[in-house]
Amino acid sequence: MRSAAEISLTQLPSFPTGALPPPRARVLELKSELFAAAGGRGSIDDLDRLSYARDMWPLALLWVRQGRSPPPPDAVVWPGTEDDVANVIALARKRRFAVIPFGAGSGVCGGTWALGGGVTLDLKRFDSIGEVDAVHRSVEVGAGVMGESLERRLNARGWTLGHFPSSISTSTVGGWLAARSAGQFSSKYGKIEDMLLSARAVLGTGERLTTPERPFSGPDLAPLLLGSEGTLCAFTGAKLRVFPLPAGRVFHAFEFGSVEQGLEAIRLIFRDGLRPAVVRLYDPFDTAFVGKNKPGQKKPVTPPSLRGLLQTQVLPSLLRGVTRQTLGRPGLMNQLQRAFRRSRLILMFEGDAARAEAEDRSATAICRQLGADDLGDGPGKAWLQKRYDVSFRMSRLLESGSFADTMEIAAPWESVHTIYERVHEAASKFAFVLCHFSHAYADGCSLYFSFVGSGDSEADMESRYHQLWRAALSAAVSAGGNVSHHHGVGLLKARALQDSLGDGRHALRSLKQIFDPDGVMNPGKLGL
Amino acid sequence: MKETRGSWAKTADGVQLAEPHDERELQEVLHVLADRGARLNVDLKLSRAKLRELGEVHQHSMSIGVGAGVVLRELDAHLTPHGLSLGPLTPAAMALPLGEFLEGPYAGLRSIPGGRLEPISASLRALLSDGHKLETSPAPRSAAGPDLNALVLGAHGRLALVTHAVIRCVPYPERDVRVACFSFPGAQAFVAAMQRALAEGFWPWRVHADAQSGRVRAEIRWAASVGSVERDRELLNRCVDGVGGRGAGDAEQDAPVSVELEATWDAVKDALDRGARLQLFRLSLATVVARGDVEGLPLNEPTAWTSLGSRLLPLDTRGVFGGAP
Repeated sequence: MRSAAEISLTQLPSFPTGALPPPRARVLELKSELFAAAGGRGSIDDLDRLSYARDMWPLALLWVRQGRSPPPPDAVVWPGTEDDVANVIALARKRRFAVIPFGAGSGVCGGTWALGGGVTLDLKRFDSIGEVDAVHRSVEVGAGVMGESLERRLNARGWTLGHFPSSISTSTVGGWLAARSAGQFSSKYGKIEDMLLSARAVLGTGERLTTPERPFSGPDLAPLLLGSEGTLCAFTGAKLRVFPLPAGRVFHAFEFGSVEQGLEAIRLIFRDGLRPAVVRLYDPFDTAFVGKNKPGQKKPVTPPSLRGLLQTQVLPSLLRGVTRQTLGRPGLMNQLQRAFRRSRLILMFEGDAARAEAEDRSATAICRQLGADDLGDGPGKAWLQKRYDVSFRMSRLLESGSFADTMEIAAPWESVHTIYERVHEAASKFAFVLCHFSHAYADGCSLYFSFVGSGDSEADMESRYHQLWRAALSAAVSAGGNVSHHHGVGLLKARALQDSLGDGRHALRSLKQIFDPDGVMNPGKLGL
Repeated sequence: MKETRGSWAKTADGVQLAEPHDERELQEVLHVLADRGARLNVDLKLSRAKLRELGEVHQHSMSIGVGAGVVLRELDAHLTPHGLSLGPLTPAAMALPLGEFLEGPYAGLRSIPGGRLEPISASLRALLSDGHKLETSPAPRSAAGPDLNALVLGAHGRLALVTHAVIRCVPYPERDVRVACFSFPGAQAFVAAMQRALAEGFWPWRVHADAQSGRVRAEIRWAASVGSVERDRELLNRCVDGVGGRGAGDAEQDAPVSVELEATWDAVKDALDRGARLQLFRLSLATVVARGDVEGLPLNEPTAWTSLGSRLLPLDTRGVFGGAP
């Protein structure tokens, strides 16, 4: 099997959604054996295969608009036990087919594409949520548990995981582990690897394992399996740290004269030992758009009789016309951005009520020293209300005939502003660029770029999309950023990961050889 | 084995000692071992004492690049004029060279605010058994595949040998070290108060806990920043009040045993229930490092790996890393 590092992203195979290739003969002839191995539940129906053919990688969303699909898996199975998972992997090793672990399909990097066919292993039947161990502040959950279900269950018992990715309603615990997910409150609660006490998984060798909790002697296997995106193992469950529901929550927003001042405020806040749950600094153009709707403010009501017409015909055609003219010339739009200077910071502290207020007072003093305008608690509250909306606005842009994507990387403080400027410059030729800074740490933070572009034709747009990614990621890494902070690698960043590892790629390949000696686990992802 | 070049010598007991000055020389050592079918720690001892690079201090990210041979106490002293420190490490850890702290039982871990543990190293440079370099990114967090730092941290030098690391520092705290003493109605109350305080962001550097007549007296030290003195003290008071504790006079500061162990909070509670006197360091929600009569993992020397960890030994593709895993 070819590694993704050798596969050109511009030559990825696709098929008409109405004419999928049939399942490969070697999987078809195994159908009964395969389904039995998986505990009796499986499918080779085209509709199921089509459903599992893609994740939410915007490249695939462009293809959907054109009636195309990435290659479908040959079959989908729904194992219910670790034995089922091990049996499917054992069969895959014996009969040489790929196994692709699948959570809820909300990844954005092509991490679950069945490039060469194979069997998709949907783990959503691992849906158990144990009782909270209040003494040890932990809970055991199955890998297939959806994020929102878990958080609601915990909340009902007075606890929170503190993990709020924007995909919370469409992602699973197993997916979080596989891609080293981060949530919107990560600055206080950490990323998923910080919440993990122990992981359960089935390796590509078929072995079942539970990583040990501290203390233990020797290397920690958990960090080597987390982020492996199905290439080494399939996660089946986890023991996670939980926290009491916060007794208090304080919002505060500030506006700075420049991005640099806002970044300096965040750095000083973390240097001072403060740990806001939410830290979001918007670049000037993003600042011009965020927080305009006050909480509780009603939108103008459109009469129901007009809604259908507006939403299905008038708005899309207007948007198509406008976006082709504007986003097709992103350089002009990006030039326009230079007219904006001010940068908005949203902070949210939570936990012990008096502590949250005390931390807010300290952060306020830092922001004021840097000359920030105090915007009060309104923008933060508005953000909290609408925090999951932005992910779903992408579909509107796609419907309008454009493309949109996001790139998230992390870097030490010394490199953050340089990366911001260089990525902006590199990407500006191909797309309209926005950025916000979040997921802050004492030594650095994450930069989250949003790109919106268009083209003269679907082919032109796809070409621009690939050029954009090459230019933007290369600029980020050469300026001192890493390849990903929390979206993962998949196919999209496989080459960049391998390049950034340098000689270290040998270590990654050795891990692959140890945990998946026959190369059946999710081939092609991470460049493996 | 035959002596070659200036970086090789014999120890007093006649065992060969390699003391490379840089990565290239260490690479050569590994090649020679592989060519001769020999192993480190068995046929040859390795000292990284000459890997003593001290890079520029980066004030914004509070980090510095450091060679594996630099002793942590010396590094801490080097950081002081820059207004930085290594943070709440244990006394025994401070006496170790960086390489041993990262690869040994301490696994390079330090507590950070929020009750979490985090490697002191933002990134590493290490050599694999075949001489290939492993160099990780200094980004604060990543989702770029598996975290390959784990091949070094706590792996006793059996999978890779660290040569250099970018170290995360914290603001130098000395003038703002605070001490508070409390009396708790029992071990469980002490543990509950500490866990709540840790989860809420309190960051103790060391705690002395002494069980007497069913009560636990604790002296808690923390490094407050200028702005945080009152908010830390207030939080601590609320956590103590919440379990029925109260202010108290000074506790005894010495513990009878100096070996450091990594222990769970359950083990700490059991030890205090038995009347133990403990010094606690590296306090996190998961574990603490303790001195005293407590059950835990000894940190003064490598102990046998878990069977899972042993699954990684084939990474030593040329079989040059010796020593008992």
